[in-house]
Amino acid sequence: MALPAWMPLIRAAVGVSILVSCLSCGGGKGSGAALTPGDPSGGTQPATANVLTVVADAGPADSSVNTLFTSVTVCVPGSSTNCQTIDHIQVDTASYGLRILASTLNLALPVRAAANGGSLVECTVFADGYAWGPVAVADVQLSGETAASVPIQVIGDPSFSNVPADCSGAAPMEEDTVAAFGANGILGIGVFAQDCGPNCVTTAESSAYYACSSTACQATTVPLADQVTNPVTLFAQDNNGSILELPSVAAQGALTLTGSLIFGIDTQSNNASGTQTVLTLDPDFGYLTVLFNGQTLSQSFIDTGSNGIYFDDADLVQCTESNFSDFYCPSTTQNLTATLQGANGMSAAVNFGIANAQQQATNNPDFTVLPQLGGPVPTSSSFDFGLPFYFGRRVATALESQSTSVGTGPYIAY
Amino acid sequence: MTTATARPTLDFKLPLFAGALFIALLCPCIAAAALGEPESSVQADGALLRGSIKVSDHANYRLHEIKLPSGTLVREFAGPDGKIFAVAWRGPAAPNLRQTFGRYFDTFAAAAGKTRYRSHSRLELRQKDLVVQSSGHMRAFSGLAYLPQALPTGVDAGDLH
Repeated sequence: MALPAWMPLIRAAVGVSILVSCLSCGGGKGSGAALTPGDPSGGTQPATANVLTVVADAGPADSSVNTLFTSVTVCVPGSSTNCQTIDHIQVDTASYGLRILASTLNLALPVRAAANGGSLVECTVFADGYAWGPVAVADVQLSGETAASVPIQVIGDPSFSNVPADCSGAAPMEEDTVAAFGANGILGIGVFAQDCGPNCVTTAESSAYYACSSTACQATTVPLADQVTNPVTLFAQDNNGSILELPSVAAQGALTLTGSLIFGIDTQSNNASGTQTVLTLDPDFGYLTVLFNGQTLSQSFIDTGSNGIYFDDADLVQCTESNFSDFYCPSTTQNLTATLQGANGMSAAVNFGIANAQQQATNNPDFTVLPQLGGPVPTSSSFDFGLPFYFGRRVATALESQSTSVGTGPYIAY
Repeated sequence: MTTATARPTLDFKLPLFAGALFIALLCPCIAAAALGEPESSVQADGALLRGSIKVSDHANYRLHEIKLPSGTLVREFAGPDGKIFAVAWRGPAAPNLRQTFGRYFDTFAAAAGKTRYRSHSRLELRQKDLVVQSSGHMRAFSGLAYLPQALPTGVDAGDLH
């Protein structure tokens, strides 16, 4: 593509367009406006300023299992009154930055301008779908913590409805509605500060950031400061990571689950490091190694955004019913052991069970917490420990380049 | 496009620019795509994905590796019949699967997401004529798509990742 020849045209085209446009507001479907910040169920205020209540339930699409949600308050930058609290934002330790579905948002947030003009719009790709929408700027409140002027993504904004072919071609489904996305948004608090990072500073990725005029979009490079950013990194304090603490769950599961997301590591009396094992992650992809069944799986990860335990085991049979075919259905529950190994050579064993997914759904159809849900992993050399890994644990996620009393991120510790 | 830059006024440039972009966006759909297509279609993939191509011969297939600007590696496997039977990818950015899957992308899109418990982190589709395994999270994508009925003798799908 003759990119240099295009650039003057793009500049001309966007010269007349808005540098800072405002998002059109959604239809007011957001149900969270009356909720207390920090409590997704609208109950009592959290006791401590750095603790956010998290809940696993069926979610706004009434279809989720093993999916953790919280409430997030966003404000127009600089305003303490022009704010909105949105419930059922998914908590994800394997993505980076805050994304909110436009249909739940009643605020007019300023859209970030692209470096060479036009509006900055992002294509966020997941394994199962893509989400398209502008990068807006908001002050973000999580419990008592505040991050000012955070670049966030607003998914499915009707003002930016033309999805580039490279974006819609990157995944099979458009996930620009609450029903398709399964949440009112997603809060990425994984180990990295930005969603794309240095790659997007130098390369105009075909499935990442775009500069959009009123008529067309073109892939663009983006400085780190303009990329959608993990809000924890922008807190004034408690900004070196977070600790997720979830209660243990009976093997057969539970209707719902409530736990705590604590910001900071070794910064307050409630987030001190103990004698846990520190497992450092590789600095490019966030991988660690899992040893399982004699295999060394070097592209493994721990991820609240995965709703099961996903790994390959030839001894486990897959379910036969078509909408369960990507899950395991052993005739009796299988008790297994894997070993997590950090890039620093430290390791820790994990015991877990895999039950029959079809039987679990038949026995307790209303359960949204299933600790023994598992299935094959789509990638060889990978073991994906999803949300069930966190049940009954206190797991610290230390951010890249950030120090705690027991090490420097990126690491996880439990 | 050089004609367009020579035009004197902004008013005149805009529609031409939009038109040119429209055609550019349309191109991936028109071009011969890879999965199930002749090996020669890899060149089109490489051009549209802006990647450099390396070719190597293996016992039961020929491998075309396309390195994208992002660092993502797309690998296309051609069988003895000269047709692409599998596409694998791995790296920090997701490639354009519509381009590399070709006519199979619509099958993929129609069948995806029908599972009882959906997760953003993985997708597995197993049909008689198409298997797609897609996994990953931000900054770390990987996947494999293959045509089970076109796997050459002696090739195990598990070895293609």
